[in-house]
Amino acid sequence: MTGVAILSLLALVALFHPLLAGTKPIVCKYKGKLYFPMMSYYSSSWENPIFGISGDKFRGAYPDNLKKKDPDSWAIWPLVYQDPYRKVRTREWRKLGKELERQEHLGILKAEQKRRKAGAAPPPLAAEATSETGSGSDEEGASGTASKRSSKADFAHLANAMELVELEAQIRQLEAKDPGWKYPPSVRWRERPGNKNNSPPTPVNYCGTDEFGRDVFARLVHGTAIALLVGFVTMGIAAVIGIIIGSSAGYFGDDMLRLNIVGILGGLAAASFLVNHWMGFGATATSAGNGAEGLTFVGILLELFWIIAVIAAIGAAQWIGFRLSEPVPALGKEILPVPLDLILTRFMDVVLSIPALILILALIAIIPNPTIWHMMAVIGATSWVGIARLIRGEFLKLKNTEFIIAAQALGGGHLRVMFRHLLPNSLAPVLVSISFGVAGAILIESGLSFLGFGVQPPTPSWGAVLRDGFRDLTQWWLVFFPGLSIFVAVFTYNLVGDGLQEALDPRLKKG
Amino acid sequence: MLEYTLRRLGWGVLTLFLISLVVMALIRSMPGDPIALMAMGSSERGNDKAISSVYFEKMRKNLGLDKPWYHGYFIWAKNLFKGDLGRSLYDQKPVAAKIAERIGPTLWLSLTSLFLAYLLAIPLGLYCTARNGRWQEKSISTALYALYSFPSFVMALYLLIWLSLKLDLFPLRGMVSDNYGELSFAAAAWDRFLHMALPVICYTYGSLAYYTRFIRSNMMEVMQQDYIRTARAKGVDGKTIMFKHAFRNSLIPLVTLVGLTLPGLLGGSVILERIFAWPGMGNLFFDAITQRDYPVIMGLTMTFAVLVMIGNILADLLYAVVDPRITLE
Repeated sequence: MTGVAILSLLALVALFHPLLAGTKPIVCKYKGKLYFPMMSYYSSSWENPIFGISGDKFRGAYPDNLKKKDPDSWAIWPLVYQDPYRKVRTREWRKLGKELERQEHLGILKAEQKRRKAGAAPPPLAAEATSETGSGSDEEGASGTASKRSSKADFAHLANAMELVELEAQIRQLEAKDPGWKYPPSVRWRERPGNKNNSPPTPVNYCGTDEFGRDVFARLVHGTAIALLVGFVTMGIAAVIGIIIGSSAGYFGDDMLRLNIVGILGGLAAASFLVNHWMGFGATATSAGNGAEGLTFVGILLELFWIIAVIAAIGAAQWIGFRLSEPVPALGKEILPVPLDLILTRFMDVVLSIPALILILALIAIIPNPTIWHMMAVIGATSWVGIARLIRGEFLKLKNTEFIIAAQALGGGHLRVMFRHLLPNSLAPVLVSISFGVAGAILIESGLSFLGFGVQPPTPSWGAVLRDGFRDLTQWWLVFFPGLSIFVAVFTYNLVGDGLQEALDPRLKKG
Repeated sequence: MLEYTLRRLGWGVLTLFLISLVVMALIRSMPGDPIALMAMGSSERGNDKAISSVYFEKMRKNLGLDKPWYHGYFIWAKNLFKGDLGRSLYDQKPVAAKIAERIGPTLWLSLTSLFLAYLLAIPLGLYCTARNGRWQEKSISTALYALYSFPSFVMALYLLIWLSLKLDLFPLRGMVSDNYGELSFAAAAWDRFLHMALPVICYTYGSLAYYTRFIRSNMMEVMQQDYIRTARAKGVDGKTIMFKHAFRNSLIPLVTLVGLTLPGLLGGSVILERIFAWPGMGNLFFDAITQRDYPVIMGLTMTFAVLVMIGNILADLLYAVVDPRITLE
């Protein structure tokens, strides 16, 4: 239960990270229209062009620019005015700070004026005046004896009148400086120091700043979204691959799929095409000279497409043979069993025996500028074996049960039996495995980013912050906070996985 | 039994062949070959580009890098049959020698930590079973669970900052101090111990937590068996049941675990070895990948893959050996 609670908290932080920390308003009214500039934290292309270079050139500094360019604008700001991608500077607040100072000063003067006007009729006693007006009226506060009292009071009265005049002049002067716009009450911050580089935690930077003066707290909050996204998407990909491969290996076994003659011929043709195709491309990959870009990400997708196309071609050939079996029965005879289970389990063994790191590193190295999405695809593409094995085992267990045989006898097709009848009954252990897998994926991503093989620098991944900390261990805050975040995320997913396991397997319940 | 082993070995060899093919194709497709990396370094040093490009082209030809990857694979496989893993492209040392040089330090860490983990996990696991449901077991379980989820590289950094940097108890990096050669025997041993302490802690605590949980859950399962109830009914005292009846039977799954840890023993951890600048296999692997040193990557990958294979077969065989109820088909 604790696990689920922390997990929902993490998910909330991940979902609403620009509301928690950012330098872009959540909502703002600018030149008569409503905008949501914080959306650009989700995807930089969502930044409204009016704030960009082609528009009003905000250069990311919203507070002053909003007021400068549209005095009637207002905005609701994130809870913490800090940015994960850049240093926050003092001048972003300067105009605002000055205006706030002016308003505050004006308020004090007006209160003083009011008080003095009210107190002017009965001239205050010297002693009282001292205590009341404090440092502002030193000349009144001179100690007087009882005999001089009346003349002293007169003098004080006179001084008071003079000060009132002076006050009024000051107030007029301040009011003349009115810029003509008003700040909304939601703006509470004062002029304060911008981020220093390499600063330990301060009241401004809760978790300190890194070498570029970026706020670590903001980076961690935005990193939460990345970490959770990596976990989910990675395991989503892994689950899809694992379920497809595991279920076909478990269901078809070694002799359920049989090819007819046309199918065999089609298979041979397709296989020779693939071999020919792959032999060709090692040559182009390495002979291209310095800094040769071997495989690209798109290239890999293309290869995957070819593999699928080849499988589809074999299927089509098989189907043609099936149709041709009416005139020519020999063609339709299903003679060659496809040892699908054998092939797929060998494939799983191969993937499992290659050290995960080399597989991931080799795949990532192929991508020129890996983004977080590439990382997810690569980690997902390498961590499906466990799920595939589980699914295969469950399918083998369930394949010969009565309800499956009944479904087949009723004329249910292969796909229908696989995904409507077998899959829902074998998902329970997969859920547990996915939950632990998410924790593993978060660990792998932060580990890769820590080694420097991960996302490109400005992306605020937890592992990337940790890497900055490893360069200079004296900056403990760059290690402590991201490390804690990784721990909490991994711990939470392990808790949830354990809970699931217990719920699904009553034997494990503590007695 | 023999037939089973032979069949498994046969499949293993086929799998190894496939792995080597896939890995060679993958690493040769990574952008930038070792010569390109060298060329980049040389042009940064301000050497004449035209001359060096001719030179590098020649070098590429000598190393066979101008040919497609399967060509390189044939040569590599041919040499492998002669028992030759090839030479590093980076410093021309034989790959086998490079690996042999790094195995020692990695084994130092992994064997020590394995020993420590079992040494601590067995009594802890038994204690937890004996105190099951009480506060002692609950607090130990919670602590171990938290430790198990604590990423080892984060722990390594925390310990470095706290114990090495702040309290100055342990050295920051490396396996021995610079003046190691001049130290007396006792001082040298102490120096080694200090350098090993933190990495061993980081290697150990995770598996310690895992093993303890593993032992405890096995014990819990065994304790529910009929023969335990029978023993109890006969009036055997708790200690004897625990050690003689239950513990021996709970060792069976532990044997498989030993088989599965085999690849981890030699593989080392890339991240931990990098953090502690430990001259082991993980660090060699990292360097080989960044330098695109194909023969070294191939050699290391094959070593790991063979270990995974042997570990798996060994686990299955041991299982059948210790548990007479299981027969291998």
